[in-house]
Amino acid sequence: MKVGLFIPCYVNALYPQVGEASYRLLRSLGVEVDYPLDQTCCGQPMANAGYERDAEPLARRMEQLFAGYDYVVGPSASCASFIRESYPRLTSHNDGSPCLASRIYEICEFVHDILRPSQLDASFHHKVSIHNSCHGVRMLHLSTPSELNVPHRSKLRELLELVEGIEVFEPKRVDECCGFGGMFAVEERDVSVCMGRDKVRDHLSTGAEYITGADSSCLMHMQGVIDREGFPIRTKHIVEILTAKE
Amino acid sequence: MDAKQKILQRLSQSGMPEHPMPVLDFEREHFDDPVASFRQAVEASGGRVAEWPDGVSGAEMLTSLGIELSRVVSNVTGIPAALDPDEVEDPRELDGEKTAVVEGVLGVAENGAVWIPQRARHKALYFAPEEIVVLLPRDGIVATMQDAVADERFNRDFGFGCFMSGPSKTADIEQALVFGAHGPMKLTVVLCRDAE
Amino acid sequence: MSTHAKAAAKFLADRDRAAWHDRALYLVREKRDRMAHSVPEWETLRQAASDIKLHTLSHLGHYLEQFERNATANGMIVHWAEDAEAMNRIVGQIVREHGGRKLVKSKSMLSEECGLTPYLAEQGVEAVESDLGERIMQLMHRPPSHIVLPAIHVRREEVGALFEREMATEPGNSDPTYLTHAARKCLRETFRTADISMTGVNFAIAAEGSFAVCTNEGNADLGTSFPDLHIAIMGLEKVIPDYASLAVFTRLLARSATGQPVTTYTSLYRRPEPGKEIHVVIVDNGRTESLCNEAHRNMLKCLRCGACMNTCPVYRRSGGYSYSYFIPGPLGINLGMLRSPERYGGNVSGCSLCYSCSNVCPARIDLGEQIYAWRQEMDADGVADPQKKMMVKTMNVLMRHKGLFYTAIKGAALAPRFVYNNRFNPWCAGREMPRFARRSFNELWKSGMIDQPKKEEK
Repeated sequence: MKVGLFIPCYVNALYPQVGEASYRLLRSLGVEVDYPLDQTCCGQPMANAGYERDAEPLARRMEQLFAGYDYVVGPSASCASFIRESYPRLTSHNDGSPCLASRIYEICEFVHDILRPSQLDASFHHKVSIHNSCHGVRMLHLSTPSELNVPHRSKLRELLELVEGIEVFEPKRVDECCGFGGMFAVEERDVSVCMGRDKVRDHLSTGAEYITGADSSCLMHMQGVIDREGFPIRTKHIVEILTAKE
Repeated sequence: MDAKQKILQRLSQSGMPEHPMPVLDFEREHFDDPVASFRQAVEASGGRVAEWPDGVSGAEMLTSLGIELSRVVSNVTGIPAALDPDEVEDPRELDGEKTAVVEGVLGVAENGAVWIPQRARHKALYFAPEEIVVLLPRDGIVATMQDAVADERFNRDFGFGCFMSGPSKTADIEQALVFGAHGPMKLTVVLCRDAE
Repeated sequence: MSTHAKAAAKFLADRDRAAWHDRALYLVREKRDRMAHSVPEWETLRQAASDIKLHTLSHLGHYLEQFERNATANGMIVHWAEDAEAMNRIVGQIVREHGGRKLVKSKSMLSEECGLTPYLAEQGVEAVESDLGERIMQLMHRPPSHIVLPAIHVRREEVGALFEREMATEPGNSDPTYLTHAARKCLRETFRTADISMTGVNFAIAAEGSFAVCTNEGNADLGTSFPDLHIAIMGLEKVIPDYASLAVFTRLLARSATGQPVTTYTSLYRRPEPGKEIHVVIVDNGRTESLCNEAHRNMLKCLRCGACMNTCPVYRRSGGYSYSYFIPGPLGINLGMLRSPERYGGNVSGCSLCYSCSNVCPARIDLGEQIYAWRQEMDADGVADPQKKMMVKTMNVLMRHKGLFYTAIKGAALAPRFVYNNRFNPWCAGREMPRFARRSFNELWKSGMIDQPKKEEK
């Protein structure tokens, strides 16, 4: 099994530790991981803003970078879901080679569904509140959307429960949007900030010390609110917890 | 070309592909005790459910429900009525401090609705009085709305009919539930012996 | 800033009120969830509703004609209106022929859409709203801010003050029960003296020539009980095949709308009482055009339950008036774009693409996906925001050139923080900027600082 590590642009620039933890998590589960150099962006921000066609050159570049891998795995649910949903529209695969869309996985989804570990070598003696991000929940089904009447499950919770010493919580509005939404965050900044504050308060009310989730973008937005308001909580990407020793 | 022709022509040019009508034979909610579920649903909607025991007269039954017989408006056989709604010319006369006693045909366990086809001269009978009592044969209770409309007792040849669930209500002021918006302020379903 | 973003900022300026609005609507969403989870076949019902609607839409002409035939045989009079003007004209004509100056109305979004009430006023006919929420809004001279809960943004004290003025209620009494019963008493006079009644149509049943009107208050039912003329107006997408279909929709409608298992009154009108008339006006007003729009014809499946508004985190925090179309929320964003991208394009930004609306829709309309699709069409339609476009174009340049991208993030990492963390950066309205890493993941990997034993074996 050859896995290509997909590190989204903003993770590359802002959260290299999330990339590193992703790498360590996959390695610890016995996977051969490679990182194709000089990745930039998958094109999601442009597409959500209404310029999906502008993402085409980026999609082609991504297809080239990851052509030789069985699986492509990244620590960002919304980027993974964008690639899965939109790349078939953006790139042609007349030669019969498997489209990136069929090989892309968000890292928790990959670990949970493909690697299926029964234990993890991790400990985190803290209270954490799961951030069920919209695209993680409603596009990738990392947990069951609260709106649907189907049997409930949460892949993030199942993975977190393999971590020693952890206490896992979820906010009351279990999968309400935090208000990031890409360009939405600046275009509708007042609504976005209000949603962010409400969401952080909901996480806070669980008594958790950390907000964790599979989308660095939501965490970035909420951390921005936390820093501004001085809320006593911090964000941490889930792979950092799944590889933690504390 | 008149408006209808123009609209139909535009519709015929919509280019929408044929979509088949689904077969609606999926498994539906089942109730172990439909009468109990129906009772619960009526109560949840703000109404009450009573029984009409055998051997008890209509007057006794209504009195036991706290209904003043002088207020009763009804054309149902066996119900002592102070006013026959069918003898009233102006439906506005049915408005006010009155209790309509009417017949329901089917009760729906999933939501507490009672199917009431119009069996009176004025449909105002069902909405204008302050209180309504619906007589419903016990064996008229079915599981869901789908069962109700498929039931042969749901006779399609009515002029007007209503699935009525509980008293009139609104939550238009700050989502606070208030009974008695414009229709009857109180509703009682009286379960009677099975229909003949 | 888009028209929606601007109006939303205004709404949010009153933080307490905005928080109250959000909570009130989220409660409705939670009630809806409890209902959805209490029906085992819920998701099957949603699929069935979607399929029935798609089937009907693909045979719309057939079902409308069938409805007309059967309704006519039942003694109703059916009219066809191409647009809003035609509908108003037809209604005006019916009213004139019948005579009368007072019309009691139950809630109809179609009448809002067509501006019927002001039209009738010009003809000297007073149309009085009888739904409590609609009446409150009519007395306030404001449009409804929600399609099912018209006065959801109004506080009880405001209703109290309004009723004190309009109905002489006790000063300072804002108890909802007291106010509701005061309105009951006051509107009773309207019901008793109206010459004409008007309702919308929730479902028109083609096979039976009958139609269903759903309310909780009984205002439509009482309204049609006294006058001898009942005018029902319907958008042409309201037709459904038969009672089996109606049963599916009635199982979904109130559960989705308000979290009740069914509306208090689901009334079926089939034959007018002797000496009375029922007129049904079938209205197009752009709907046939929407049906031709392959990408967006799904919108015609809508039951007008409002669930998409109650769940929308943006609607809850920006209020119904922040949208420039008369229908707000995810539904309004989409319907507004179908009506006119030039006029209503300013609403499209009001969506964080959370897709909750698509999950609550009882007819499985992909509302969120369609907003995404509209965004893709805006640039070509010439209605894209120029500032946003510039941001995207800048990003394109950066992301398409890896050298530029890595130089830029290195520069950002080295730059003093105030350069980007300042009040000119829209991100910083309410948020701090994240810190750029001194070394990107790419750089760490290149310099071998990420533990990579396998790589060396290659």
